[in-house]
Amino acid sequence: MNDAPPQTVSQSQTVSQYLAVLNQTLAGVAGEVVGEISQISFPVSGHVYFTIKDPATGDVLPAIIWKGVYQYAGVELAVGLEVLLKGSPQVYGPNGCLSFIARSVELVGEGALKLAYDKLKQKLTAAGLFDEAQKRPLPQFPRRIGLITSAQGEVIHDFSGNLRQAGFLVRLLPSLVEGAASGRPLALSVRAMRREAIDVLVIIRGGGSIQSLAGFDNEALVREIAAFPVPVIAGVGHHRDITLAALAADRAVSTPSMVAALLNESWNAAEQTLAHLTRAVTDRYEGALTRAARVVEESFASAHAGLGGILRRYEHDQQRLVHGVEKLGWRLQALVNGLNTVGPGVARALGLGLTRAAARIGALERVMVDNDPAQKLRLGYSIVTQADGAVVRGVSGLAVGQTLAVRLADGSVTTNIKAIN
Amino acid sequence: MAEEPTVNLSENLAQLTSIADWFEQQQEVDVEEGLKKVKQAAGLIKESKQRLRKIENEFVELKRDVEAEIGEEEPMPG
Repeated sequence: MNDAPPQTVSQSQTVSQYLAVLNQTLAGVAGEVVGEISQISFPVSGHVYFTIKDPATGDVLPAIIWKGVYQYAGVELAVGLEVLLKGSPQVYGPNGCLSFIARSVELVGEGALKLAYDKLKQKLTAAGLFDEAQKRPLPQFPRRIGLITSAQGEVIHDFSGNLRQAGFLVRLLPSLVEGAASGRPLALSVRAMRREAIDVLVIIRGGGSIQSLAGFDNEALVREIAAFPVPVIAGVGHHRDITLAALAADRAVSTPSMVAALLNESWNAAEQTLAHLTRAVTDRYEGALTRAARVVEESFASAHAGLGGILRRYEHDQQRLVHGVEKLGWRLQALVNGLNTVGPGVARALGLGLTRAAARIGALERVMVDNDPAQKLRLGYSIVTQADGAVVRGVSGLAVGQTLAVRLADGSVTTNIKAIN
Repeated sequence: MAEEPTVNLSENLAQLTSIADWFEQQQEVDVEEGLKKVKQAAGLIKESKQRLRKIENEFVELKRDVEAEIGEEEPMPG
C-alpha cells in the first residue's frame, strides 16, 4: 500500500472557507482589552469604528462597536479615553481586515468615570430628565409591582422580607446589576417591563463603587426610566454621588428595605386611619346615646319633682283649709261659750249703766233748764250786743254814740249810748 | 395566582371620613340618624379590615429575553 502524500488540492479552501474557519477559531479567543482610543469615526450607520492603542508600545488594534451595543453602552467614546473592551476578534471578509468586535465598552479609571458622570448629568439635567416637577406620586395601595434586580444575593431577600403581607403581586425580571456592562440589560429590562400591567416599577441593588454602579449611570437606562409609564422607585445605593438612574426615578432611596417601606406606606397608613375613624364614629355615637339617656332621666326627675310639688302644695293648702275651718269652729264655739257665761252679768251691767246714764241725762237736763237764757229774759234780764254781735258784758270798749242791740224776752231794740258812767 | 381583591379601600376610607365628619359637625346628634350612619360605618369598617388582613405576597419570575427588545445588527464595512 502506498502512503500517498496529502492531496493539497483536496485540502485547499476558498478564501471565504478559510476565513470562516479562521473566524470560528478567533471566536474562541474572546477577551478583555484595555487601550487608549487613538482614532474614532461615527458614520451615519450608527456603528462606531475606532482604534485602541497600547500607550506603552504604540501597538494598535482596530475595533468596532455595533450601533445596537453603543446605544446602550452608556459611554460617549472620544479620542484619548482609556477604555476596557470585552469581545472577540473577527476578520471582515470583504476587506480582510481584522477588528475587535466589542460587545461592551466601559471607561477605565475612577477619574474618567467621574468625568463622564458629571458630563452626562449636566446634559440630562439640561434636557429636564431630573425635573422635580416631573416626579409622580406613588399610587395609593399599590399591589402589582414590577421588580428588576439580581435574582441572587441578599438584596431580593431583604426586599421581600420587609414587604408587608398585603397580597402584593411581584413580577421579577432578573438582570445583571454589576459594572458598566449592566447598563444595557437594565435599560432593556425597563423597556420590557412596559408590557407588564403593573402599578409601580422597582429597580434595586446594593451600594458600591462608581465602577460597580456604572451601569446605573447609563444614559439609555436613565431615559427609559424617565419615560416609563408608571412611577419608578430606585432602591440603589450610591457612590459619592447619587446615580443618574436614581435621579431620574420618581422616588429614590438607598436600600431595598426602604423600598419595601415605601410600598407598605399607604397600607400601614390605611390601618391607622381605619382605627382612628372607627374610634371617632363610635365615640361620638356613644356620647350622643349617653346624652339622650341623661335627657330622659332629667325629664322624668323634673316631671316627678313638679308633680310632687303640686301634690305637696295641694296637701298644704288642704291642711290650711282644714285648720282654718277648725279655728273658725273653735272661735264660734268660744263665742257661743262666752255668750253663755257672761250673758246675765252683761245684762245687769248694761241695765245699771243705762240707769246711771238716764240719771245723768236728767241732771243735765235740769241744769240746762236752769241756765236757759230765755228763762233769764223772761225774768226781766236783757242781752246787750254790739253791732258785730258781741255780747256786751261791761262798759269797757264802748263809746258814746255807739249803737247797741238790746234783746228782751219778747223782742229786741236798737239804742245809742248817750253817756258812759 | 392571587385573587384580585374587589374592595375599594380608598373609597371606603373616604366614606368613613365623611361619616366621621358628619358626627363632628352635629351640635346635637340625632339618635336615629346617627344609628343609620353607624350601621353604614360598621359595614365599611368590616370590609376594610377584611382587605387589610394579612394576605401572602406572590413573586413571579418573568421569562423574557430582553435582548429581543433590540434587533441584531449586521456588520457593515467601516
